[in-house]
Amino acid sequence: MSMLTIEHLVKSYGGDTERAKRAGRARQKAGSAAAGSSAAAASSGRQQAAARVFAVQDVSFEVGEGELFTLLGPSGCGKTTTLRSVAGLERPDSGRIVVGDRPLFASDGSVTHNVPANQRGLGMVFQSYAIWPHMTVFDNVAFPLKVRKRAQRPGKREISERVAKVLETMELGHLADRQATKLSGGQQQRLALARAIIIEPPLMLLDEPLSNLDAKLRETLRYELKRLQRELGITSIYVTHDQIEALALSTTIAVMQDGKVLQQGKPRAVYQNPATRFVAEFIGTSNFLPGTVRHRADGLVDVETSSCRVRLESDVRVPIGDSVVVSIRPENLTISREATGGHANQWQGTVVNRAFLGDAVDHIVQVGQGTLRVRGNPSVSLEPGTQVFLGAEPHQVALVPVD
Amino acid sequence: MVSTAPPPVDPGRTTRPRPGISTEDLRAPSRLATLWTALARPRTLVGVATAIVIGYLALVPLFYLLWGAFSDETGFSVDGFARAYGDPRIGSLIGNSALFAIGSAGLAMVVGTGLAYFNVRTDVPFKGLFFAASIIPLIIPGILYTIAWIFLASPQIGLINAVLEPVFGPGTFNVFSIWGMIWVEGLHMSPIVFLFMVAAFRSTDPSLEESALMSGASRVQTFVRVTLPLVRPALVAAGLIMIVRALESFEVPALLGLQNGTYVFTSRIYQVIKSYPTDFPVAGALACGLLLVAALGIFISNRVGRNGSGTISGKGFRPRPMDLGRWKPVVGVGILLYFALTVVAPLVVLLYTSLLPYYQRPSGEAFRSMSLENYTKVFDQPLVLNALKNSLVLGVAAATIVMAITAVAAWVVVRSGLPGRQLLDHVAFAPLAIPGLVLGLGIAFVYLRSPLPIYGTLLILLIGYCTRYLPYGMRYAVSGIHTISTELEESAEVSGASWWSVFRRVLIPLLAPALLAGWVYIFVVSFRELSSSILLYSPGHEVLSILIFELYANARFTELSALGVVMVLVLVVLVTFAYRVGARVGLRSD
Repeated sequence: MSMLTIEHLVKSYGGDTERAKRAGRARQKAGSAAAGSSAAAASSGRQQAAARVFAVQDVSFEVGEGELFTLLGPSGCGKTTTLRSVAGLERPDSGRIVVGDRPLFASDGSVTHNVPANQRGLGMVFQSYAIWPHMTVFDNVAFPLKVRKRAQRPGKREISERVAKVLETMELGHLADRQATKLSGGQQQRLALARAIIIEPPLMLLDEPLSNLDAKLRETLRYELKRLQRELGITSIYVTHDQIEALALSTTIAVMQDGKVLQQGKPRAVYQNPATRFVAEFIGTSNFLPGTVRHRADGLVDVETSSCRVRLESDVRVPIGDSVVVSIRPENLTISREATGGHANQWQGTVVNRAFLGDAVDHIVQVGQGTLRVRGNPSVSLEPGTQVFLGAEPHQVALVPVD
Repeated sequence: MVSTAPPPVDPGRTTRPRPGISTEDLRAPSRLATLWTALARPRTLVGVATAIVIGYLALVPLFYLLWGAFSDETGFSVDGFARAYGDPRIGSLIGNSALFAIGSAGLAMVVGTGLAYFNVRTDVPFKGLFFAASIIPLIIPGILYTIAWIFLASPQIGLINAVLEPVFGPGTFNVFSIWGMIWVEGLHMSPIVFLFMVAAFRSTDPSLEESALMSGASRVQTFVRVTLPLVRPALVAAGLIMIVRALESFEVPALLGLQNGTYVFTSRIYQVIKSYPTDFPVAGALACGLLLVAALGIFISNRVGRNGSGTISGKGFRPRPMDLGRWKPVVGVGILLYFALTVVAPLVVLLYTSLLPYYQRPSGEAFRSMSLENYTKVFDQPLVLNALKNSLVLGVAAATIVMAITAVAAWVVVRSGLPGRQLLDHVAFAPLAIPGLVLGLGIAFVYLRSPLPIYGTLLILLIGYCTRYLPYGMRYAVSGIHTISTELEESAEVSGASWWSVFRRVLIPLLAPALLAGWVYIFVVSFRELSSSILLYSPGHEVLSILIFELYANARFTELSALGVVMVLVLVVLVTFAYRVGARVGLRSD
């Protein structure tokens, strides 16, 4: 069953100069993305005025019960705007947002039905955690219960029992009376989570909740978050720009750019079969080889590139003679001094550079006209100038459409 | 994945509790309902109410001022302007005003900037004294400062003249002259320039000066060619503000200038109002001229200050004080002299006078006759107790009302997204450009014509104070809100809190330190307000500063001094408290 349905969501800024400026700043951060986006906006049928900036353009997706759905993309891609639209903190221009069977927002551009943020009954963890510094840990968590309408408000005893239970789950029970500002970063994060789940919301929204922590703590809390989400079975939307975080946590990833969802799928599928060059570049690193289709049979495609001839597995029906781009992840390339038999792909090359990364060694290898990055075990380290053989399995090579 | 059915509307939120209604069905009622719910939302209602109150306070007096200036018995007329600016004395009025404003601003700028430079950039001794001196404008109201200088430098009774008489003969200094006015006003304003320029010097990278020294420039050359140009935007802004303040000043021109016929705009307006029959159009016309110049000065200084903010490097640096070397004792003596003149002398002369049975030069006999009799005499008078009570009540009420209004107004301006919020911001800041006397006149015009029985009550003073200090309250509340992350309110909203709950339970508690600091500040400045009170009070509704003004007019110097000492003591307590509170949010001096 789907817990969240989003259909044709559109959000633009303009008219109100201040917001347009703010959106403009976000765009500038996204850098070159801005040019592409305004071109796309001009072609959009929903465009209202040339000066409008589109933060979200026709986004649709569904999130199943218990899923941890991640919106992944660079800053300014519209992921946070999408999340805030679900929260009710932004008002989209048009589209539909339904949680369970309850429509929270529906608009065709002129008639709008909009449930205010404070009546949506969702849980949210903010990037800064937004812990109220003038309240204790207990009061922070109890707040969502205390501000309910009198008729729905639980009694004092029930509130303290429920808060105690949630704090216990988050291992914050012993800190209940402490001033909320006197917590460590990790404790604040768990407090923000406790506050988000106290009302047992149908949907939890997380806006880059790990980005304020140092690298070590971030890794620990990533697993903690995954465990809690699974134990509580709470459907969650997670926004991040960190691809590792997205791959490690999510049941489903949606990669966004310029206000659009480029690809949606399971982490492994998105990583292994990026739908566009942007996705392949954004998630991990990859070698891109432009070339021409030479042969196709039994789901195997042969592509002639300037470096080498590549055999790959693909269901895409590309005609022979078409221009394509081939993507090979550095860690999917093998490197050795001697040629080994039986490989579908084996190319000879010369090491031109190498970099020791601690847990791996990167070699840059000249093959034909181009270079390929190869990531391998740190025990294998070859001098520049060494003659080597590279190999790759056809199912680990992806065909990427030409952008 | 994509549904083609029309989007159902949440039954809980519309008037019709029927599930599965399509938006098509709801078109007509929904629009009305949307409009109605948008208007009737408490946030909109509160925002609109605040805008109305602020608009009333800030704009209505201006409107009536113009009306008063441009009308006579027959209707619209420019006769008032003709009489005011056709007067043969107008030339000397404008000349005096310009000389007084530019002269005292210049004195304040030179002294204040020099002190700030020594304080921030050099190892000058007695750094503690600088900041003690800097709160002088807050704890010694202009009226007391001026009277203290009359006691010091009047040609007849001045103590300094008495000391110098054996050497230079009688009446060396004459405070009752344009130069005396410039001296007193300039000294009183110099601490404000000091605070302003300290901030400017602190935000300038000292390595820019060090590289000038390394290039072979002398210290004086470095100061003139590098340091001053770097802080030029701050200098220009401060200079303009000082000129406007001097133009607005009422106490100094009234006490030092009226006596010998040296008129400036404020004292002339006061004189027109106090003469019978009162020529209101002339007073209005003069007030309009003053308002125009003041508003222009504030406008330009805001522009300059904003443009200049980006020119100084914001890189992290630790200012290293420059070694003054053999000039250290010289500068040190200069600092002590300044402190003695601006702080010690006025306070000591007030204290000295307050203990005497009648005003006299210091002598053995004078010291033998000292007693606390003036203090008991002053507090035996119901008039004095009443004035003290009025000042306290007005201070508390004005501070409370202004901070309550500005807390909401700041939310509207910074957070609400309501249309017209920028306009509200500008309107709330408008009284900053209105001289106190002009504001008093405008408000007097309003309630002289109004059928409401407000003229001749304390309420009209309260309205005056609320209007005058609205911009200060706004400044505290707005900068306070800016320090609070939006997410703190958004998370409360997502948690299910209504607008009012978010405002009351999250925003106000977090804003409390800023509101309290603003409250104390407004209390302090209301407690000693004179220039708008002088046109708004009525007998029986005096405040402390008015009483001191009247006691001076009746030459009751000793009782006046006792009352002044008490007032300074009260202000010292309040200002100390204000600094304690303000330390967290950065209290800015008037």
